[in-house]
Amino acid sequence: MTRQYEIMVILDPSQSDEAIAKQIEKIESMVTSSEGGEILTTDKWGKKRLAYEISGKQFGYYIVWEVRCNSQLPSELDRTMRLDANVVRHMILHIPERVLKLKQREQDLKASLELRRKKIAEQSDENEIVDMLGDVDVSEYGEDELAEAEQAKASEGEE
Amino acid sequence: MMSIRKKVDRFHENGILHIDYKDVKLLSRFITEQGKIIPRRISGTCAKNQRMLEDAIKRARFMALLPYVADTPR
Repeated sequence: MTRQYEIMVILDPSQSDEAIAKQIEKIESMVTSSEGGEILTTDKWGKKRLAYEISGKQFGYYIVWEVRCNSQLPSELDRTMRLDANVVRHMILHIPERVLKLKQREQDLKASLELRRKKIAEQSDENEIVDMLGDVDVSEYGEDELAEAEQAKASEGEE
Repeated sequence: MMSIRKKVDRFHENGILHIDYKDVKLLSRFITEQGKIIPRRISGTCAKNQRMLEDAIKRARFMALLPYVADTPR
């Protein structure tokens, strides 16, 4: 059965560009040569700083693929990548139909929200545009409240 | 319990239906300076979205897009 997957891979960035290209090639050919395998998109993020050190490295070369293939491929890919020392991290996600539909609906929703906001902006004197995810005011509550919550949990645990 | 104001779910407000682990910019707004996930009674996120948010953050952490722990030096 053909399913849609998202594959993210982190490669060792200290390799030469050719080495990296070769590895990308290897992974991609595994997909395309499989039955019904098709690469939908390739997104090379390139060298990026890691949020924490992995295998002694501070940076990684990120690549993301959207792929459509049969359901056996992910486990093969996984096995191959686990063995490869140059693949620092990898993650293969199954993207269910439900999510694909959500993503489509999102485009429409956002478009209609934009229109609504423009209308409001034109009509009113003050700009009552809802700030796109204006910063969550953690400072307002302070780490104190969070600490409070943790203490409450701790005392519950004691019982 | 302090300050139970009427809070909006920010994802509903901005028409976001699916929370992507790759969207670091978005995700980073929902973690503290220490890298902890902000509880929903503070962020105002609805239960369903909070679960999606948590999954996304955890995946992002696994792929080193977000830290597990990030202490700010005192």
